[in-house]
Amino acid sequence: MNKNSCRYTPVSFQNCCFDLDNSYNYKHTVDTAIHKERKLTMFRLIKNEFSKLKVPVILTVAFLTIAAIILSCTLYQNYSLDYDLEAWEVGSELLNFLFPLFVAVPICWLMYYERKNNFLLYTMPRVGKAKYLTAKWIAAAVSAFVILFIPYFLSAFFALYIKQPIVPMIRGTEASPFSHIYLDMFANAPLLYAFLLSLWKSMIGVIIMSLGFVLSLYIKNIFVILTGPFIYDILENFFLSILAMPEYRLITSYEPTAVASQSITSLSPFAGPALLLAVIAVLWIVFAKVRNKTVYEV
Amino acid sequence: MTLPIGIEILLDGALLFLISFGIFNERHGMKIKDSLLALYFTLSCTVSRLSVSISMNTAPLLSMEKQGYEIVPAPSLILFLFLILIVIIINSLWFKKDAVYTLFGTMAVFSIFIIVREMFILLFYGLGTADNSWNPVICRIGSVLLLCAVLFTPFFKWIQDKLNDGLLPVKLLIGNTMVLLCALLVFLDFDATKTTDQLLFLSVTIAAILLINLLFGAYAQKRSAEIKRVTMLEQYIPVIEELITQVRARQHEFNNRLLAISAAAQTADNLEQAQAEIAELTTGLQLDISEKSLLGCDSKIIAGMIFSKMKYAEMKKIMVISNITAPLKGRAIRELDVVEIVGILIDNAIEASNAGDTIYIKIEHSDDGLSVLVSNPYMMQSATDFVRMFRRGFSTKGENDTRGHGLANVKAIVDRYRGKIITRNETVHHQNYVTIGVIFP
Repeated sequence: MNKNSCRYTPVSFQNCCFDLDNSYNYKHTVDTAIHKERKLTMFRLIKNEFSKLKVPVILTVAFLTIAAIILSCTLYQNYSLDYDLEAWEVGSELLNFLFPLFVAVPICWLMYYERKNNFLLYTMPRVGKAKYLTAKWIAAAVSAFVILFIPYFLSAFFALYIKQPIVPMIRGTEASPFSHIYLDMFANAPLLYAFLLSLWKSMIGVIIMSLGFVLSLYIKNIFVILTGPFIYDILENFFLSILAMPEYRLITSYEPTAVASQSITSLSPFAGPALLLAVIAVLWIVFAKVRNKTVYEV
Repeated sequence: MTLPIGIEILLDGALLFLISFGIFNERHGMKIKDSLLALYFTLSCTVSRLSVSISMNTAPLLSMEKQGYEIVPAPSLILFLFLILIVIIINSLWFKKDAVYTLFGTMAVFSIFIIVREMFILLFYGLGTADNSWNPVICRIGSVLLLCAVLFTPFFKWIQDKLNDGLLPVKLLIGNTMVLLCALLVFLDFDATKTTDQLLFLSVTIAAILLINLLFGAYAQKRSAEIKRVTMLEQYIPVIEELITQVRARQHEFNNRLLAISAAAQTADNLEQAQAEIAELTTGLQLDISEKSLLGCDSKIIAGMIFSKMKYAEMKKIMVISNITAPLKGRAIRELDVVEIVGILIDNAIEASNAGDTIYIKIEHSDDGLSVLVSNPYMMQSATDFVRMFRRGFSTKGENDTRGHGLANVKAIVDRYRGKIITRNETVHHQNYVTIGVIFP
């Protein structure tokens, strides 16, 4: 490595010129610097994407948290329940049904507008396409996760510790014993159950948001982008029910109490998300490879 | 599927189609292709009726629901929301309007749908025939027939104009109507029979919705007029200021000429010589009659607009002579409407004139009221020709969607103020002039 080769390196890599005797050390220093620089750029990009999404995401989280807490602490009064966490299940029904809208609408509009007003094209000279889209997806995924996790977990916490405790009339009978998926954890460690289920639901939320994200990369109709995940959820639910496979629906994976606990199989938690991931992959292949659509349209 | 359910679904689809077509379609007439849209809406209504029953030991049962679809084609808020989303997507794909128009247009579609359907439910169920099983079908037929009739009125055109304006009060108005109607549906539990049970509540709610909408409507109208006025002020005030600057610049020249005239009078040897020199010095000193009348006009917007049209005509080598003697402020007619009328009449006159022609504009106060007349050289027109000019879509350049709206708009404004339209042929300098104008009482 001669001295001239360093003349054109960026300012941040100038230190490498002092260690010219050892080419291995020099290469290692450069690689580390490049790696650090890349990580920093990625971090800045993700931070930038968060700043674009923060207002709708914060508003959605605030609205959903308040709504979920109110519903979990009030709706249960019309039901005869055995456990406090059941109040959470009753109060979350609306959120369980509408969650694809809540993760797609506050997030997926961004990509549509960046494509529409050609903002995306102006990012091309400054940052690589893959890097920019990855940063965008990471920010969107974290936002989707937060949008679902905070309302679910906080409403469960309120249902368990803030509202009046549920006093069961008769906790199951011999003829019809109380049954619930993961009954032990549900009955004895309800906060852990709520935490894990909220975590799982938020991850499914990230996957369904990804469907909206992929649609926003290629489609020019904002209504299809924002409501596509919800329509998918409804249609998948409908068709799998007709095909007598309700235990493999996305909603069954999302909310295990959607079907009787006896019907749940070991595949049930993963079938819905797997099918959704397959649909996202097929959509990407159709748009990007078959129809040759590009995200960055000049 | 039993026959009444099939008919109900068809009629629901038809009603959705008619309202959507009225609100979104801006071209003339209906094409055969549009029947596909009706089919999509019918399919959406069919999907919202499908129900799947799942039980442990039997196969899933697919059935058509019958109850709870009398008011809207959905028996619950969730399904109604799903239907709204489907209709938004269909409208956005079919009519290709912008997102805001599509969103609020679809809200307007469902608002009209619910109001019309509730009217017929009140009418038929309220007549004491709630047990009649044909009531749902009769209500639907009545709604479809009413909407067919409304399609031939300017109602939907008015909604389209408001949606195209895109003003915030209009959006708020549509949004609050939709939210209130949804709340009403939830209160009635999507059950038509409860409509008659809750007649008083329903009447108060509908009256409240109408009152809020009237207030919003009045505010929207006022806001729209303010925005138009500010736009025109921004557009025409600089023009009239330019005219004033021109006149001021000439003032300097006038002062010099006056000094020269004074010197000429003092230094002349005799009266004849003084007269000759003064006559020479006063040549071209007079202010142009049009500019004089524009400077005297009390409405800067109208003066600025006429001056800008004069400059535009000047580029086409057409001369415009204006004579404004009437005050334009403090009249029943709004300044903006006068601007629109004068603008349309001058534009038409410029379009019909050739290079070298002269156009006359006269705004004066007569015994009948304020008259605005614009004359331009053109071949003699019969009374029938004049009447035809004011029809929407008529244009001397041929009929199409974008032309032939100007004089029709003039007529609409004149009708609103109960004014009169004046049309006549005149001879000026051995040439036929067509004069078109209006009189406002």
